[in-house]
Amino acid sequence: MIRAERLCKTYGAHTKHEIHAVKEINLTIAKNSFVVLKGPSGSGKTTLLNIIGTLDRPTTGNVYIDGEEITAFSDIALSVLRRKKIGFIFQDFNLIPRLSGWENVSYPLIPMGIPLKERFTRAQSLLKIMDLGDRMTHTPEELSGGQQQRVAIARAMVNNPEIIIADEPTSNIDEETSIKLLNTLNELKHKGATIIVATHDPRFNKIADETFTMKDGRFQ
Amino acid sequence: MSKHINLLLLASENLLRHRTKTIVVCLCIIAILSPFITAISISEGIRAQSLASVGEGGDLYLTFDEFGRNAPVPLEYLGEIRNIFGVKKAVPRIIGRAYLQNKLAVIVGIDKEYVPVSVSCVSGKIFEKPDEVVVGSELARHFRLNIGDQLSMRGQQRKVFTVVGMFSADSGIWSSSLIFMSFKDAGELFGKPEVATDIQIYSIPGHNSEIATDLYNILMNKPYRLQDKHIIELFVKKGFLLKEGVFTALYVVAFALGIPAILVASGFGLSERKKEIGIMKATGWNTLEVLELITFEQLLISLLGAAIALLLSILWIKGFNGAFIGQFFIAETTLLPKFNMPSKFLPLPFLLSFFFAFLLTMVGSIYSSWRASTESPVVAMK
Repeated sequence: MIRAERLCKTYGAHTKHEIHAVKEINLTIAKNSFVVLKGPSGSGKTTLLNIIGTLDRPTTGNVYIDGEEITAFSDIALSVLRRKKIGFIFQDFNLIPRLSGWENVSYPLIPMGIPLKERFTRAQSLLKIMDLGDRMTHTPEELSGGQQQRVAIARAMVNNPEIIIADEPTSNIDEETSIKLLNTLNELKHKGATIIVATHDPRFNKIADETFTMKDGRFQ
Repeated sequence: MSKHINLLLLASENLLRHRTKTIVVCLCIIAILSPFITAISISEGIRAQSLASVGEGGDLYLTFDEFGRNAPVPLEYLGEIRNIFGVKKAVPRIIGRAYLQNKLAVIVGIDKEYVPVSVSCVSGKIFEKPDEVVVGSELARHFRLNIGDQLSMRGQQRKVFTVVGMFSADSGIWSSSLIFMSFKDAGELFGKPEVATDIQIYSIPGHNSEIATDLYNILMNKPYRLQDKHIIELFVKKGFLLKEGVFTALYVVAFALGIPAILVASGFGLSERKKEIGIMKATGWNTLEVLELITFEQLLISLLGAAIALLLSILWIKGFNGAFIGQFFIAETTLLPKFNMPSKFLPLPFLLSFFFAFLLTMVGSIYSSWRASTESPVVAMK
């Protein structure tokens, strides 16, 4: 379902600060699988996730999702792809500070033309699943790190994506919330989603279908 | 369509969420637009009154010409002029200026039967007997004049008049410093009983050129000047266009100083916005949708700013008589005029102001937003 061919990403090309974050990566991820990317900090996990998730473009190489070469997609086509197929969970949550929990969750639905009432209903049901039914109107700064992470997970799920990409999702949350998150992602996998997680957390290894270890921009 | 409605609603919510920015940008727009709308409305109001006065006046204006300027016309020709075929009536007038104590007043002398229909007194009556006058509202207020009071004026000779009527404050700026009296009294005041400053000729439609030919025959070899109503109208319009133009030019200079303020204010919170745009892109928004949202925000803020500026302009004119700005358009008035400033609020200046505000706020925000939304979401979110 997801295939990457000879992916390279270079920052500061042709300068003295040139960094090869990803080098000649070839990768295939089957549909409805749970994939974990491991590796030390700076090994290129986040860069690879960003490229697979269309948040960044590779310097060279190609990415295919459902057989379509997305590296050739226009900006608008990539947005459509993200809207329809991909949900992101970021390490630092990336919630919009002035919006309440339910508004953050429903934000991706606004340009889809979904009316306010339906947006609220969808956000409400997801936040209830995340045990945040009583925190819907709280802004991110009124929520704990774990609660913010759960809002971010709800946002990633709101458009029923086929692929969920999570970058170090447990690095800023406590033990209990980490276990809940793990279970949530596992449930999503069982509902048919493809899960790709970059993490140091060894607990993910137990539920992963496949694990890739990265070092210096390459798979070991 | 529902997508655009969603974006419009979100834009209005964003204005409330970023209250400080909204207020600052609105204040900048108001500070820039309100004086402009006020000035243009005053100018249009005065022009409308002037044109109404011209419309009510004669079809032809006869004066003499000395040194290329209007000069008094002797009354000896009045009888012949009235007998020209096509002349409905010929009305001699004296328009001059004289001091009432330390205040300059405009004196209009005209026979009672020719007083324009639009002239109305709020109290009292139009003069009937010799040495009776009607005074303007500002003069009456300044000298605390009442019906029956006497006033003394000095033209070529000193004369004492009795106030029999007073103009209302809303009867037009021309009447605020006006003293209205009979033609004979004005002639005596200025010591020129045998001349008029002009003769207004009311004609049967289509006879102006024949009347001009006959006037030529009567006034042959005399230095006379004949102007028709349309030329006067043209001069009035041209004069006000010139004043509006000069005001606008001066204003644009002052305005240029305010533009950076709007640009800076529109770009407030740019880094926060950049990150927000990055998140929007990461969650499926495309560049056009981001820009549409930003455009709606600027549209709403401009509309809000321009609407408040319009309301303040109305208050400025109706509540404070166009203080500070009226002086630019009406000579010899004070910074705080005591009469009702004429005004006319036309849609075009308001629309232009709104579009200008929109343009400015867009310049301040659209480029940075476009940059943020065309970058990869990863970069924008940093």
